[in-house]
Amino acid sequence: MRARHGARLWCVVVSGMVPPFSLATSRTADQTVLSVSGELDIATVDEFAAAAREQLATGPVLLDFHDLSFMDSSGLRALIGLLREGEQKGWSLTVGACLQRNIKRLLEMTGMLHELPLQEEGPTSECSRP
Amino acid sequence: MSMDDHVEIAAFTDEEAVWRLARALASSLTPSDVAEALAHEGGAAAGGSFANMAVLDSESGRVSVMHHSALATGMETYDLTAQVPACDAIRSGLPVLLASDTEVGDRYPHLLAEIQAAGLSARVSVPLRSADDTTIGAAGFGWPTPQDFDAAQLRRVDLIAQLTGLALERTIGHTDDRRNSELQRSRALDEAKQANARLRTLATLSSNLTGVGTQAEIYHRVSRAVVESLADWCTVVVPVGEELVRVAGAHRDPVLDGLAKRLVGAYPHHFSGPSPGVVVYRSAHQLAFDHLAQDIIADLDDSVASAAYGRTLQILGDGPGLITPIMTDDHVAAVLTMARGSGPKFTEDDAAFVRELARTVASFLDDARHVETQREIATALQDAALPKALPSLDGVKIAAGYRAATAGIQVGGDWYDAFELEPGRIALVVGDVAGHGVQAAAVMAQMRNTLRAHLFAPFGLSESLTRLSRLLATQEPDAFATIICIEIDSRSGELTWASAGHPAPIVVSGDGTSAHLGGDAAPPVGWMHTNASRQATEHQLMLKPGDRVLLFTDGLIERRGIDLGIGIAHLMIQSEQTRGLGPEEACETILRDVLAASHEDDVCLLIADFGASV
Repeated sequence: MRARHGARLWCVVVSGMVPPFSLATSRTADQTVLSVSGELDIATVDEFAAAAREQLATGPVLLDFHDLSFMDSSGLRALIGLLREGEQKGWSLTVGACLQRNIKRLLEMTGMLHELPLQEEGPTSECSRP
Repeated sequence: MSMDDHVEIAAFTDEEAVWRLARALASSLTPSDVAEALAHEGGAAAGGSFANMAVLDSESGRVSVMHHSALATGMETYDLTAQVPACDAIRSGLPVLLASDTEVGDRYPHLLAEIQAAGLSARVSVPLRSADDTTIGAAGFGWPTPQDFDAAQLRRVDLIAQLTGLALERTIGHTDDRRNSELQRSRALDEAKQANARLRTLATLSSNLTGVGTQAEIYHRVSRAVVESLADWCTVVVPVGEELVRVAGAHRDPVLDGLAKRLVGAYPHHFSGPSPGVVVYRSAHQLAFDHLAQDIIADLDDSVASAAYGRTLQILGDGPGLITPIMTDDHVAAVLTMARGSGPKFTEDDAAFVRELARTVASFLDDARHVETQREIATALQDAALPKALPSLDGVKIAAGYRAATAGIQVGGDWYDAFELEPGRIALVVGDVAGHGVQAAAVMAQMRNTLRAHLFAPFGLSESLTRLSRLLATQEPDAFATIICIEIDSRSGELTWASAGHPAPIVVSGDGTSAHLGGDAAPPVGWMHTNASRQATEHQLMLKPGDRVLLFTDGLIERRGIDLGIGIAHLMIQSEQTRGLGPEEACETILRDVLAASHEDDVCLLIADFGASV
């Protein structure tokens, strides 16, 4: 959607039951942790991919999906895109092994779970979710 | 009084009571005289048994209800905020119509006993207006029996209110000049309030139109916004070929709203005709009317359809109207017609506001149109890529179904294919290209053809998928797709399947139990070829006669907030429940069920029954 319409200034952001999508970065001694929470889908995937690229360009990145509750095929597509780009550019990309059941099942079903560079130990090692 | 008013009154020459009222009003010198005249003659003039008048004191905000002196109740005063018909009519500027004591009881339970005691059933309160449309009071009418309130009756009540309003204004002016300045002040306040209300309407409309993906839905929402703020009814027409065709209709009254909606698609106006909508469409200029329905009816031919249309408009309400073009670029994209059943004419402020509203709508139309065009292209690409006919052969019966996502450009990624590789050997494919829209649909068409060629070669399932992955990576480096392929030998029942990141098939046996086939999935096409260890495994099993195989895309099992495992379990239950149906019917039933739940994504389903003759 283009932003040129003055009328849109009145648009109201409606917050419903959906857990809000959010990104947070933190630094450890040897890597940047990009924590993704909420739903990763067509509406949020571009923001996620841009943030991941920005961090990967500066050094090693751990993607923390501990609080990610939903991912659709566009989220998966972004993840595969990052892996591909990382192979070419020599990025250091790992994914936290703590995943909610739904995300894990999606990755299993699509044959991608064993393709991800999973990192067992990390800042979210106490994986409390089912 | 203008010539028009004389003409209007002449239409009621058979109504002796209206004349008596008009004479009595003409000889009134004070507001009390006017109230007396209305109380004596107004009931009969309206075809009812009772009438009274309420006057607004703009200084105190009090409303005085003046009864016929014979009723001995004298005068009651209410605060303007009181929940009584007269105050509601004055505040809203709209008539309060209560067709029976049931409606009185619903809306004014506290007044029911009083109204019943007075021997009344139907009640109406109509705002009284001065010549410049300021509400100065209300006229109340009562009937001893429930009323239908057809257009003719409402017009008569409206006429009485017009006459009374003019008389009341004249007598107030006689008695109190000082009040004029007060009236002006309260008018200024009203205008400020109105301006605020308009801004709110625009803001609400803008947020309601954000993200709406179809023009039809935009027009529908605009017509709703209009009847909630500005007018009693509203329609929208758009040019189609040589005609203006109605695409939305709404009425403030929920009962009449159904009638307004029935106008959608009905009674188109040919460009060569004289209808006011066509005039506005051709000139691209806004037009205002005193009696819109009358003006439209005057231009109609004498066909049966025109008569029905005219009647409909009269029932919707024949009052002041405003017809406004909605411009996108230099074209009239649509024409917005609105009218009041009665009440004040549209002011220049109203007209300017509606033009602003039309500009707001136009800005959203651009986006919706873009989305619709993309969607049309994607759908066309998809239609062209899906098989025109499914193969028919002895021993395996096939059915397939596909539903595009309902909103936006979320279309184009899913496909299915079915073809005979050699006599007695059939290949079935279901795939899902990541992404949506035109690009995904184009990639999908290319992949479907390439995979067909590979399977015919024959490279076998696994090798065909790997080759496809390599091709995709060179052609569309950002794309990937999940695909499931199966081959069935229609004589032996041998089934071979391989998946690239795609959900495995469900098999329902003849006795009605189902199983979701297991086995490690290979990664999606576009990624799998990069390492030999990622190649898809070929799995085999023997089907028994009566077995049914279902291939599907993730739209059938994926829901926000629901575990994929539960989605699959649900589909397995549906497969078992529909086992007794033929494959086509089962396919339709399952898809219908999914659509009823939610429909954010494309869905695709392919069913093959083994051991079934064609």
